[in-house]
Amino acid sequence: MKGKAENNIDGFFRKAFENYEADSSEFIWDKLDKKLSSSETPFLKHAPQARKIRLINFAKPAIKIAATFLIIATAAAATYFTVYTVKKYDLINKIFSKKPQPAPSEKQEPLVITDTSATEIKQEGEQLNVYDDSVASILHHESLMDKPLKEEQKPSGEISVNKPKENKKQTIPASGMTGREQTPVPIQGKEAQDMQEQQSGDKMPDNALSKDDQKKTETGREQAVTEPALENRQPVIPPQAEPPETSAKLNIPNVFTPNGDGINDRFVIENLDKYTANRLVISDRSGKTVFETINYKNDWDGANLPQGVYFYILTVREESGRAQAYQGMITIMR
Amino acid sequence: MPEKRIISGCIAGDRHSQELLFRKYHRLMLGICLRYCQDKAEAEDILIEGFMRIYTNIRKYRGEGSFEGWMKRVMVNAAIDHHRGNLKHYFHQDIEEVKGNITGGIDPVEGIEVEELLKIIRELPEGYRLVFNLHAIEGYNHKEIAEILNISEGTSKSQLSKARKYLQKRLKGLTNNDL
Repeated sequence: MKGKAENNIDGFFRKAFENYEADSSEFIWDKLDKKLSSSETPFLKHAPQARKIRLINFAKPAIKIAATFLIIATAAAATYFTVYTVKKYDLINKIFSKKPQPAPSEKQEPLVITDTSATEIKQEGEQLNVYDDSVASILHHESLMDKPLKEEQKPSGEISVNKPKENKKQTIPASGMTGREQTPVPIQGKEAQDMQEQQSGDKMPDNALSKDDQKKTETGREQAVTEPALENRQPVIPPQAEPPETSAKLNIPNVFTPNGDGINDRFVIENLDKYTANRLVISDRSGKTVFETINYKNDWDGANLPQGVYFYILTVREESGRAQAYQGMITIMR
Repeated sequence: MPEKRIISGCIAGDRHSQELLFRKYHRLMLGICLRYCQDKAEAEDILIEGFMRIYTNIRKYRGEGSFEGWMKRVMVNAAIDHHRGNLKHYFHQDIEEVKGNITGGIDPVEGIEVEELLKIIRELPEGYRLVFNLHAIEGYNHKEIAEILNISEGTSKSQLSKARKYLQKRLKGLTNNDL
């Protein structure tokens, strides 16, 4: 009786726990993984055996990968070769076809384009290829700004004849906002501030102006055109340009506090609305762009950025169509 | 991935194979560990320790018997070793409340959750629990238990019978409550 009972209870538990499974906590493998990594050496001890099996286990995939690589490489080579030959063939074809139609060579290309270019945007794109990327970006930008360019005609330098199209293009560098080589007058944040300070006292002291102007003449490459624009700043100017220019000294703050208290919550640049167009790029200290907009409306509140120092590049276009760039630091404090 | 491949991968120290093995068996192994200790955290410590042993000793597995059984043994040894530092204290304790003989067998109670049984087993003092686990569930005999735990066979036997009595009482309480 007793023995039976004992067996009974033993068996009962044994049965209950047979193949009993329990859920472990979520990251238990990671724990084990860590521990394994920290005590990797024991496995290396059995090197001969281990190495053998490792080889078996891993040589296969390695070979597979190598094989696929090889296949891909050969495929690539084959395609390249075919493309190359086709191209060659095409060339030959072209040469053959050219014989009947004499001379559709480089010189004629611009002509062809100018015939139709005046209106077509597409061709604008094609023509771009002739110029470098910066011009392209400017052009692109131009369209973004949706602001028709002020025409500042220039004796064209590099490019052949004075077709309307090309003239337009030449004005762009003068007013381009992003073209790196062309115009931008990089004014360091401090300098900008200095100038602002100078200005806040009285109306644009002359030396501030001249300093500004000097810089421009120094840096601007194609100033032939923009010089009249510079003159705009002085009283001699045509009246339309004057009011924005004088009052439009930008006052760029170096700090704002987007903490929702209603005071200085946004990155507000004074007088920004006096300019016809602008472009604002804000990047963090590592140079990553965190904010970028065209025609900034003084409404950026720093989004979710952590507080700290950021850099802005503000490019504005004046009434005269000339672009100016300001850059400096902006601190976000919350 | 067949088990053989996993095992050979583990012998080679391949982390991926180790993870596969772990994922396949850890729930079963945790079930064993839980019987040997007070709470889950402790059980998981044992589980990790056990798997470490499995990985380091897997090349000693000769392919005789089931791999699962081998793993279970390793795990049980890990659990015992977990207690080893305290073993000498375990067998001085006694269950006071349990007295009298086992009267009649209990019917295998259906409807009692394993978790419930686990709770009861955990109520046992460490020493009783070890002996009961080893003898009743793992199927070791008293001689083996005496060797493993470094106690005398007599201690093993008496601990076992006391554990049984206690468990029986608790089980009866459970079934009565159920009714």
